[in-house]
Amino acid sequence: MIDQEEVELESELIEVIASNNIEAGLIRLLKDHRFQHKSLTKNLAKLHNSQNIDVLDFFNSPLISHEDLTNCINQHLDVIALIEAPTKKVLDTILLIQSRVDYCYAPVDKFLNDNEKRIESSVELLIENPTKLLSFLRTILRSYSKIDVEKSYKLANKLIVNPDIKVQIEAIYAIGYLVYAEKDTLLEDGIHLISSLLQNNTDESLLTACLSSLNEICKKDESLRAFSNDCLNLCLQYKSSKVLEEATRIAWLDSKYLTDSWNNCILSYFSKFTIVELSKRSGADHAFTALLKKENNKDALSLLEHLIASNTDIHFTFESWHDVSTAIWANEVVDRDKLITRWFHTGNYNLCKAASDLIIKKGQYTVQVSQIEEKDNYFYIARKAVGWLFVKPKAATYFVLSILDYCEHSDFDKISDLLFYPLLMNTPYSVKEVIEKHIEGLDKRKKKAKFLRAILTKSEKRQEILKQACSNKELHPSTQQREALGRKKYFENEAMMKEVHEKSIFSSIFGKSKVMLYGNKSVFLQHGNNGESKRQVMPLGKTSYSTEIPLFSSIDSIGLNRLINTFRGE
Amino acid sequence: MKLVIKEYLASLNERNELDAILPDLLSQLGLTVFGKPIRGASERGVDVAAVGSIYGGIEKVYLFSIKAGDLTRSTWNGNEDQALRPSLDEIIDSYIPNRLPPEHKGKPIVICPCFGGDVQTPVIDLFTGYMNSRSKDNIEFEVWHGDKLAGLINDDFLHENFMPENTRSLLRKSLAILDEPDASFSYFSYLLSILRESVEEAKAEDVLKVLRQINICLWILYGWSRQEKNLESVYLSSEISYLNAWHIASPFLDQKSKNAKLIQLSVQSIQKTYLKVSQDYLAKVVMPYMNEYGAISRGVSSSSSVDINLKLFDLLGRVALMGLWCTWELEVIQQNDEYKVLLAQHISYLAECIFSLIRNNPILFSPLKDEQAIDISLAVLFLAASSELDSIKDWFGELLSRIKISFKAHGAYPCTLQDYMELLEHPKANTKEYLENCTAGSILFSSIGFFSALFNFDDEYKQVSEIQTEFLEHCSLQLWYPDDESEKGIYIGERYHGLCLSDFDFTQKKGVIIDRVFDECKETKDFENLSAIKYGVFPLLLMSCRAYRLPVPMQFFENFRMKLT
Repeated sequence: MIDQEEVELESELIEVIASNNIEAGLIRLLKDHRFQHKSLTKNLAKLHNSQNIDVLDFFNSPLISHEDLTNCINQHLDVIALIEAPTKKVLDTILLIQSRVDYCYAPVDKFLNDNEKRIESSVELLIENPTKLLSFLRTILRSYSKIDVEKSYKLANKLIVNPDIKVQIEAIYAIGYLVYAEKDTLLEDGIHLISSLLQNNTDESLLTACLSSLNEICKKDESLRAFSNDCLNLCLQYKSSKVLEEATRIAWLDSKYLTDSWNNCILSYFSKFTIVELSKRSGADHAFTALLKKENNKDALSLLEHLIASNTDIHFTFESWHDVSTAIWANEVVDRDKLITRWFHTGNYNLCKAASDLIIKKGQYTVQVSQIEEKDNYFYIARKAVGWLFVKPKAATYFVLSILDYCEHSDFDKISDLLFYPLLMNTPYSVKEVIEKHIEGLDKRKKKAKFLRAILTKSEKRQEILKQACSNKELHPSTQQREALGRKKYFENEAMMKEVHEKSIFSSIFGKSKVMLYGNKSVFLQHGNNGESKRQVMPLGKTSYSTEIPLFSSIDSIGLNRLINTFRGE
Repeated sequence: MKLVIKEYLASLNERNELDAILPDLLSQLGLTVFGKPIRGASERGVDVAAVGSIYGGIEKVYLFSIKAGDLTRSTWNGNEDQALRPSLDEIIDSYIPNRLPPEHKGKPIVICPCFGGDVQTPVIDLFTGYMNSRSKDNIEFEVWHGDKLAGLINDDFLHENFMPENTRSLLRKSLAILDEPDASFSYFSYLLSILRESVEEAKAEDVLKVLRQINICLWILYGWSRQEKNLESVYLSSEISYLNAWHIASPFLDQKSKNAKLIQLSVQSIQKTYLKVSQDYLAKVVMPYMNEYGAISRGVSSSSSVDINLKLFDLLGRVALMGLWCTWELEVIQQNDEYKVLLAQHISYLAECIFSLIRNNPILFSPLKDEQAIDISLAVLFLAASSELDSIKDWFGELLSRIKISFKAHGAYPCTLQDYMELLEHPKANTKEYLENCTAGSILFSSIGFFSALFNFDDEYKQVSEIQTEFLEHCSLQLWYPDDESEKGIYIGERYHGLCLSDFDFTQKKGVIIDRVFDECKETKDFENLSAIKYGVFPLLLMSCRAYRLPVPMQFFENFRMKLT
């Protein structure tokens, strides 16, 4: 049964085609029915094939503006896959659109499909002017290989020696993308070809293309991976951002195909770069995640630690490697607690920072210490944890409490003293909450429970004294001073909010904001498709965030910074 | 106004607090006081004895037995040491027959039970019955309770005709707004300035009257402050009350006339009031919390380190000043050995108080305002007098280290800014221009540098030199000396007098600096002519420096040069 909307759409299309101003009418139609994309494409193709309209003439029309081409036409180029049209005209149309917009995806492969006539026609055009059809080179050769892989391969070979380097590179890529038969000998030839290209050639685009093709070839015949090591090493001999991009892509998307030797080669290549250089490639994070998820991930983990430890850029945060940090946090790739303990234990500034970034950004505090061989070093680890996790006192407390289960009895006092100073003295309420919860789960007769209760009692006594001191009005600033401070904070908050709004994704989505002076609900009309409107009432939501600010940040900020930096740096 | 005064009288909780004002009140009424309270003891039940006629009546002897607060069963005839009935018995049985001076025997005697509150109902009959049964031909009783005292004070001390215009309302405003100490203090200081100006070049009796008015106003403020549990305003007011009193009284300090002696006694009375307020203040605000890390800083109850900084250095100055008063008392007062021992212990305690304050409130290592050199100088003077040089050295070491960090990191380094808002925003910019503007002159580094030189703190002296070279080449490091104009204004808050000795260069040897400072001391002989120094009350000058934010004159440190060489 034909959908009523489709029928209406078809008749609208016919109406537009019959009008004087087809371009404007079609543009309007495409915009108005943007949610009926599939139907539009189908109908356009139907009308084209029944010669009511030439879609390609429409796309080629100089009357269509750049904006409409980018925002509208570009979305409907998949009609090309469905129309009957001369190959040359199709390719020329796409080329024209490509020249007018920044990005264009046209399913040329679907247009060519298995249609021999179209494929041969495109091959002829390619041979005639490979530079012109550069963007279709891979697609055409791949489609050609469906008909005759040998001929396609030979053509690719020929194009590899084309004077235009861009053609060469596309042809090298194409070698990897041809549709080969299983265990085809051409695959091995391909590897030899790539090897020969790599001799004395340092062009990074060429190296990247060779690497890509090599990988694609090996994916088609896994037995060739072992054979391809020398070739791989040749691809990865020079430090290059483009080659790195390709290597990360391979490690990320094709990790399941990679052998240990390929893993090692790629990791060895990664080690030529700093972690900041790797961070600039968006795939590096995913690549490392994929490598870490493999069963034998020791080398990948070791490299990651080395990269972090040797980093010299103070602006780098481990959290920027979102995938890796998430995988570590979720215990998907390694024992998280063991890793964090080890990182704190090394004392390496960057590793400790990475460990703390992990804990702090994830917002949870249930990270515990893992057992280590050197029992004397638990105090050292405790100080590290306090120094690095000071801004998340609950996390620091939880970690220190877990240390008490493993440390020597002789260290018990000094480790538990860390709970009092600086943790309880700075953020008494947060830390107390964690300790109390911890005590609940302990045997009350044990030393640890008694110690912790004693610490809490000491803290409560101190809080009582502080409360009494706060009741001395003589110490308080004057009302004028309080007002001045309040004004200053108000202006600072306003400036912060303004900056946040400017950078916020949400505020850009929701466009113009309105200020409500009174009330806590907003009434608005919601308009439907059929012209009706419905009254809606939206209550305002409340969000709040509270945090306990360390007391010593105002009482002794220099001393506190010194203490924290000492713990971090020792 | 009478209600205000009655409220104050009712709040007095020590017998000897009422003692402080009664003699002045009686003198003001025209009586001659011939028996005054000895510290902590009464003479056969008599706390104050006076003779004369009130409101033109016949001459009588008035014998006062003073109790605090309301007259209750226990204070009438209970187990308390100072119960009233036994005191009255003592007066009748012992004082009148044996202690009354011969010249007053034969005169009518009025026994005056005096208390700040009222007679409670359960006691009325007993009390009235006692008085009726003991009244004789020449002995009568007259009750001076809170209401009568308030009326007398209101009609005699603080009457509109006796006080300049607006002063009563200023006192009321000062009392009404005690919870805003700055505002309360500003009203009180305005009141003082009016009273002071009213007796410029006046006769001794007018001066005496004004001094008594100052004392009673101060006591009223003190009583109310205690009820409101906020001593900030009265502390500040007591300082400037004493200073203004000294200024008013100074022309009479070396005179021998009756009124001149009464003026001197009045000033001493105000001094005692100030010392009492100061002691109470420190006992309430500082001493219970000084041993707990961060307690006093936390007590400021502000998230801004500027508030904490300003208050802590202010407290440091106050504690040091108290220590200097005690040191003075130990030197000049002829008391018994036991009292001297107690005083010496108290001085040690105050020195310990300063160490604890610094140790447990690390913000005292980071001066923010250059003028905090005044509080630091007071502390150094007191600690040096108590031979605590090692502690000063440790303090300076950490202080200079933190100042250096602040300069390097463009943190809140010491500056000459005065406006609170500017201090909150300091440093507003990381530019050289801003730094030079904020540190155009300094007494802080010159003081610390000088002390380091004087006490042979080599490392600290070197640090001052490094700071000057690295960050403060543009800064005029200076010290202040009083001159011949200082006496006129130093006790009443005038700031523009004295000499500035500047451009100290701490890259020079220590000896050069010391010589320069003390050579100037020799040149400026006006220091010795300041009345506070001349009459041997040196802490008064220091109090003036603290209250009016003037640098501590280096003449105070001359003794240390002699001791150390």
